[in-house]
Order: sequence, then C-alpha cells, then structure tokens
Amino acid sequence: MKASLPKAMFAAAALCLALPLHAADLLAEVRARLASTPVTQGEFQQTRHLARIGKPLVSNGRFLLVRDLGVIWENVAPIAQTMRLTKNEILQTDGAGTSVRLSADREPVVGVISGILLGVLAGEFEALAQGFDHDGKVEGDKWRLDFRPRDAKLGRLIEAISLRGARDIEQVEIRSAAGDVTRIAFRAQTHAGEVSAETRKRFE
Amino acid sequence: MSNPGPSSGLARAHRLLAWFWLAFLLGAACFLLAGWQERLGRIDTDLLALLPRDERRPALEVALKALAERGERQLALLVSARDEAATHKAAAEVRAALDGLGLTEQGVGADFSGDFYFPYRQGLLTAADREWLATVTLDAATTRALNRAHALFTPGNVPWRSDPYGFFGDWLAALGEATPLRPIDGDLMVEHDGWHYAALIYGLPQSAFAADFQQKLLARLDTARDRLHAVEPRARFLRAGAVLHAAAAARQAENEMRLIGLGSLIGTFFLIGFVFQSARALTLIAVSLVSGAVVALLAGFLLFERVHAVTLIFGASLIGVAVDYAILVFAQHLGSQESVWERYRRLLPTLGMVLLTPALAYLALALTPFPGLKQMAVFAVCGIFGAWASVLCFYPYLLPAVLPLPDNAGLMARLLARWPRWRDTGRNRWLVVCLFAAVAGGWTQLRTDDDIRGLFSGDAALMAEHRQVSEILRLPSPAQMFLLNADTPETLLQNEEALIERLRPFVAANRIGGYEAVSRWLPSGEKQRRARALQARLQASRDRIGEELELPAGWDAASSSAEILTVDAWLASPASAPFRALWLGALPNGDGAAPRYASMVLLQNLADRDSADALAGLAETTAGVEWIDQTGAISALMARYRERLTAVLSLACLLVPLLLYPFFKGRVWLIVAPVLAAGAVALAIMGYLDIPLQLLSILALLLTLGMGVDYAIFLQARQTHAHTLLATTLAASLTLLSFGLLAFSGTPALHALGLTVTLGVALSWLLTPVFLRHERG
Repeated sequence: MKASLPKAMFAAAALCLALPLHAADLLAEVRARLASTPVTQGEFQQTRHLARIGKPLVSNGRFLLVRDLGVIWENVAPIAQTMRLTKNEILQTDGAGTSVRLSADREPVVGVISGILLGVLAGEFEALAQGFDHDGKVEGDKWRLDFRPRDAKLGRLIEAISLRGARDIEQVEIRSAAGDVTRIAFRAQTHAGEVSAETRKRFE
Repeated sequence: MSNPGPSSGLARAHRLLAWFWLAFLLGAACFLLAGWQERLGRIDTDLLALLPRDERRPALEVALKALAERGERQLALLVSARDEAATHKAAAEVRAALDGLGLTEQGVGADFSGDFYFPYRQGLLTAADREWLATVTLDAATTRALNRAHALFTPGNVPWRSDPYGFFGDWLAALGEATPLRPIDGDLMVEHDGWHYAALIYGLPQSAFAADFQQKLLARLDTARDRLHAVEPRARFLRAGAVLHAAAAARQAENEMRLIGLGSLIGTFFLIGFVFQSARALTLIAVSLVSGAVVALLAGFLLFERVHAVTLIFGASLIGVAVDYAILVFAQHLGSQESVWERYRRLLPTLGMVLLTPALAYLALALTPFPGLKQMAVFAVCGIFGAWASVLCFYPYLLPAVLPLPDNAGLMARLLARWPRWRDTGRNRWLVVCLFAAVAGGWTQLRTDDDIRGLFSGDAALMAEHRQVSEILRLPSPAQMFLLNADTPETLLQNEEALIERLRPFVAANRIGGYEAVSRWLPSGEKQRRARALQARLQASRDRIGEELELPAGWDAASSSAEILTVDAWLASPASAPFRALWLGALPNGDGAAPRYASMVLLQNLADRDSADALAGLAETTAGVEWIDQTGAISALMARYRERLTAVLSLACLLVPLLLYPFFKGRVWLIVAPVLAAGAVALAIMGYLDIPLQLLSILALLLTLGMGVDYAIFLQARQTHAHTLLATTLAASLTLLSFGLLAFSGTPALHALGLTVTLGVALSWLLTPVFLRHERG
C-alpha cells in the first residue's frame, strides 16, 4: 500500500494534467515513454473491417521498423504479401513475387499516404501532427493518442487514427474515409541499437 | 478673339466653325476627364492583344480567347527556402503578405476525391489496367482483390467493396500525373532540380486589370520578396501571371509616355519660344497639341473597347508631327505685311495638301491585320486631324496681325546659302556614282527578321521568371497547341484519344512534359464501353471472392453501375471546372450547316523547335487534328505583310511624283528626290549596322515618305526659302526629338519604328535643301 500511494497520486495528477496538456507537450510526453532505439521488430495481428462486409479479415505477420529508413510490413497468413514503406515510395510485393512500385514523384497521393503510415507505425508523431489535430492522454507509462485530419483534402483519405501503447506502440486503429477500418495489435516487439547491413539492404 | 475679320460670309461661317470646334473640343475634354478612372482600367497592356487574330477560323479564335481568359486571371508564385520546413514557413509569410487583396487561393485543380466519377467507375480504366485486364487469369485477378482486402490500408474514400481490384483508385491516382504538385502539410509542394518549392496559385478578382490593383499587388509582392530575402538570402521567389506583365507594361508605358511626351513638349516649347519669341505662337501650338490629344483619345476610347498602352506611347511621339502645322503656318508669314485673313485664304490649299500626305502614310498602318497597328493608325490620323483642325479654326484669332521676323531667320538664310547644292558637274556625278555604290553595298547587307518574339517581348526578367515557373509547374504553352474538331462530341473525344496515344512516345522521350486534354477526365463513350466489357469478364472472379469472404450473392451489384459519363454531365459538374476551357464545344459552321465540335490539347514544357516540328507532322497524319503554332503563324504573317507593304512603299514612291506633277510640273523630282534618297540611304545604313528589316521598319519608311514630302512641298512652294527652311528645320527637329525619344522605348516594336523614322527624317531634312534651285536663297 505504501508503495502504491505515490503511484496513485501520480496517476491522478497525470489525469488532471491530461486535459490542459497541449500539442507539443502531449506528444513530447508520449515520445519520452517510447523506446528510442533505431530498430524495432515484432509480430502483428491485423483485423480489417471492410465497409458493408460482415466478416472481419484477420491477417498475421511481422514487421521491421528502421528509423530514418522506413517500415517493412509483411503479411504472412492467410495471404502472403509485403509492403515496404519509405518516404517517397510504396513497394508492394505479392506472394508470387510480383511487385508494384508506387512513387510519390508520379502520384502525389503516395507521398501523403506513406508519410502518414510512417508517422503512425514509426511513432513520428511530430510529422503526423502537421496535418492532423491531436488529442489524447497519458496515464503513468501508458498513453493514448487520437488524430483527426485538419483539412478537407486529407479528410478524403483518412477519417481518424488512434494509437495506444506504453514503451512500444501496442494498438493502432486507422479509419479510412471510405469506412474501411484497420485494427492492428502488436506483439513480441524487440529492439536493436544497431542497423545491420542485412537490414539496411532490405530497404535498397 | 481680337482679330477683326472682314464682315464677309466666309468670316462669319468661319467664326461659327471655330465656335463649333471649340465647343466640340471642350465637350470631348469634359467627357474624357469625367470617366478617366474607368478609362485607365481599359488601357490594355497585354502585348498579345497587338497581334492579329485569324478571323477565318472561328475555332481558333474561340480557343485563343478561352486560353487568354484562363491565363489572365491566374497568378502563380513559387517559394523555396533552404529546406521543406523553412519553405512552409516562407509560404505562410507570402500568403500573409498578400492577405486582403481579394485573391482566392486555388487548390491542385483536379478533383482527386473521385466523388463525381464514382458512379461511372466501371468505364474508367488506366492504360496499364486495360493491358493487365486484357491478359489476366481469373486467379490472378482474384488474388489482386483479396490482397487488397488484406492490405494494411487502402487509401481514399472509395470502400474496398466498391472497387475491389482498385482499378478506380488507379485511375484517380493517374489523374495526379496531370500536375507535379503534391499536397504536403497544407501546402502544394513541387520538387525541381533538388529544390523544394511551395506553390501558391491564386485566382484574381474582377478588378485585377485596374491599374491601382496591379500596382498594389506588385508592391505587396516586392515586400514579400524583400522580407523573405531578409530572413533567408538564398530563398527563391518566382512569379508568373499575365497580371504581372500587364503591371510591368503599364509601369513601362507610364514611364515612356512621360519621357517621350514631356521630352517632346519641353523641346517643342523651348524651340518655338526661342525661334518665334511670341506668346501667341506658343498658345496656338499648345491649343493645337491639346486638340490633337483630345481628338485622338476620344476616337481611341470610343472606337476601341480597350486602348493599348503601346498606342499611347506611340501617340506621345506624335507631338512632333502634330506641331508641324502650326510651325509651318507661322513660317509662311514671318515678316509678312498681309492681313491675317488674306494670309489665311492663301494658305488654305497648302494646308489641305499637307494634311493629306502624312494622314495617308499613317493610314497605311491600318492596312495591316494587326489590331495594335490599326489602333495606332486611328490614333495618329485623329490626332493629326485634331491638331490640324485647330490650326485651321483658331489661327486667324490667335496669330498676331504681324509676326516679326526673328533674328534667327538671318542665321538660317546664311546657313541655307552655304548649304551644298546639287550641280550637274563631272565631280558630282562621280560622287553620285560612289554614293550609289555605297548604298547598293548597304542594301546587299540587309537582312530580314520577322520573329514576333523579338518584336513584342515583355519585361525580360519577368519573362525569364515566367519560363521558370512554367517549367516547374508544367504549365501548358499558350503559343503551341493542337486544335481538334469533329462532327460529334463522341468523334471529337475519339480523335483526342487517338492523338494522345501518339503523344505518349513524346512524353516518354521528354520532348514534352505532358499534355492537358479533356479525354483524360472524360473518356469517349466507346472507350468507356470497352472498359466495361473488360471488367465484365471478371464476373467469375467476383463470385469466387464472394465465396472466399462469405459475402451474400450479388455483393458486387452496386459496383456494376450502368452509367456512361457523358459530355453534358461532365461539363455540368464542378469537377470539370479547371479543364472546361479545353472544351470549345459546338461552333457554328456556316449558314444552316450542322455545328462542328472543337477542343484543344495543350502541351506542357515543349522541349525545342525540332519537337514542335515533329508535333506539327503528327497533326498532319491524325484525323481532325490541327497543329497551331501561334508564334510561328504570326511571324509568317509579319513576313507576308512586310512583303506586301514593301510593294505598297514601292508603289507610293512611283505614285507620289505622279500625284504632285500637276502642282509642280518639272520641279517634281526636286521634291521627291531628297526623300527617296533619304529612304535609300537609311536602308543602306540599316544594312551596314545590321539592323534587321521588318514590318515596322517598312512602315516607318512610309511615314518618312509622308513627312519628307511635306517638308519639300513647303520648301519648294514658297519663294522665301530661309523662312521655310527655318520652319522645316524646326518641324524636322521636333519630329526627330519625338521619334528619337521613341527609339528609347523598351518595346522593341516602338524602338524599331522610332529608329527608322529618326534616320529617314534626319536624312531627308539634310538632303532637301541640296535639291533647292540655287538661284534663290
């Protein structure tokens, strides 16, 4: 009991502070809680609720996040496909090895999407906050962030993004403007301080 | 009006006429002053407005008008600081600097949301998806849809269920190729040569062509640029828009009108005051000049919807010509003891004759198809007439009964006596032969240059900025385009599609940056039907997907929408707004015939002349397509009219002696020879100095002919050469002053005109006394 009293007080204080906590402060609070290693990898379970389609589509896979490089998102089951997100490009490869390369240079919207997804998955909230209004709260080492697009142009792509986590991002929900919803739960996340040559190669 | 005229009928009629003319001038002046602000706004500064339109082709006319309207209401700014974040900040500052001017910032142009196109999506396929569909297996198609369903995220506001294969998404994304702009963090960004630019694209308010708005806009832009450079010296700030050229041209026109107008005026009053030393003489000249200006402005604003700034600059140079009448009238009567009315009666025929020759010369300007030159002709003829009419009406009242012979006349007489005269000696013959050889040598050096760009170039720095912005934003060229026409809208769209198929290699080879065409957003009915047929082949795949995802039968019913996108629906939608101008629609096709439909395809970043020629070749072999090269066409037109006017000039050289023969009989060659020699020598000088011959230099020679003949008529018609030489010297020096000042104009067209006239008039003034009969003087 003795040990938990200050903790409860801290939680209460955090709760009180949550409301007046502002823009940069909130994001900085969350950033401070997140692990800051350059490489994060782990597994995910992704559930998609497509608009007007009853059955949720559940996929499992693994991901690799390298700060300043991008994300490799690898669906393993039931369908094998990989998406590699970098700043200016989305490279999709299906199970048969056929690739589709979407370049921001040719299609402006690709840059926007890759920017948002990188912001979400890599925890680059400051970048995300430029196009979105945000809200959220911090409780102890747990936190929650909600993003809504600031302008109508972005609103045509995405309706809302929510994130929850502690040391790692644990859950993500992305609602597209069309009503398709993706929920992601992360597991077994590990961190590395060094970017191996092999890892770097996967982004080339 | 103190001069007592004889109480004859003529004097009464004259007095009535004078009062009437005075009333008319005052009325016109009040009329002009009353609406001055509004009229300032009607001063045209667009140099393209000076160029001819091809009346025989209504489609082209409509196309050019649509382009002009689209272009002239837009302002594009590019801002770049050292990195993206700084650029965003700089863009915000520029935006703030322009706040309150009534500008509306425009988005990326195209509607990428796809709301409007959604019901028609079955007929909309990209070229890549069409190819894919033509050969795809059912399994591969099914995999594509299922992969998309399991993907992390499918962007856009089209739900997976409505576009399971993503074809519609691809089509919408492909629309993005139309522009290099990317919306990033609230700004439209574009990357070029390693620089990140934020693009601020504004629509201008209705008042954009009012002079005060333009100057305010320029001042704000200058402030924004200065502020930007104060923070970040390496920042880039590029501007493009017709309004900037208009503002620059207006500023230049204002400066030049001031320079030429004030220069001519001060020169005129100084010289006349010096020579005649009479306040009344100055009054008559002032009245005559003001009348000329009033009549010219009145005619200009009444006859033309917009008066061009270049016309006004040119008009300012007419001061030197308009003043000639008053000068010549004084000169005739220096020291004369006759009563004013006697002088007046005797002078009338000569006054009539000298109005005619320059007026005819200026009317030659109106023979060209160039609206600008026509306007200048009307302006000149009316101005000269106004000045002349005032001399005619007011001179008996304003001129002193006796105009004393000024001291300077004696100087002139001595000068004239010393002037070299033509004598038929062996030495002079050799001189003439040498002169002929020198002139012939100059003529062989003459070259022609009809390139319109050299003639009507705007502010060079602005043009360079404009070109940079056009290149970065891939703005379409306003001078080169394809013009298409067909019997039906459907055929028109099919023709466009055929043309665009053939343009693809040009895009791939970077010979053009891209194209703008209606069919990019509105495929032909035929193409939509083919796309639907291709998609219909996927039914089995759709069924399989339904089973896989446990979807109810007919889950995809909503996606097989039956509608075909029509021209009318497209035109009626706001989604077509930025590109509607490309669709010229139904154009009347002669009497009672069925209308023809027309559209244009614009090109971005045309690489070079060779590419333009290749594209011209493409048009020849594609049905219903015509290549339009405005600069080329106008340059060709300039060349054609240069040749035509050269013929007119040659004809005039033959006709003038014939017309003057009844008055001067055998002396006619003495009148014509100096001015013809002057013209020939002027051409030779241009040859030696490598000044190219073009339409305006020929026109200038015509004007020189008109004025030179006038001097000679005056000199030869009177016995007292010294007085008249004084007058012609004055007249010529004032003309030289005006046109000499015109030669400093920043508008190359006016510069050429001023230079040639200066050369021609100077020479004919120098040469005329040479041909005077030497027994007098």
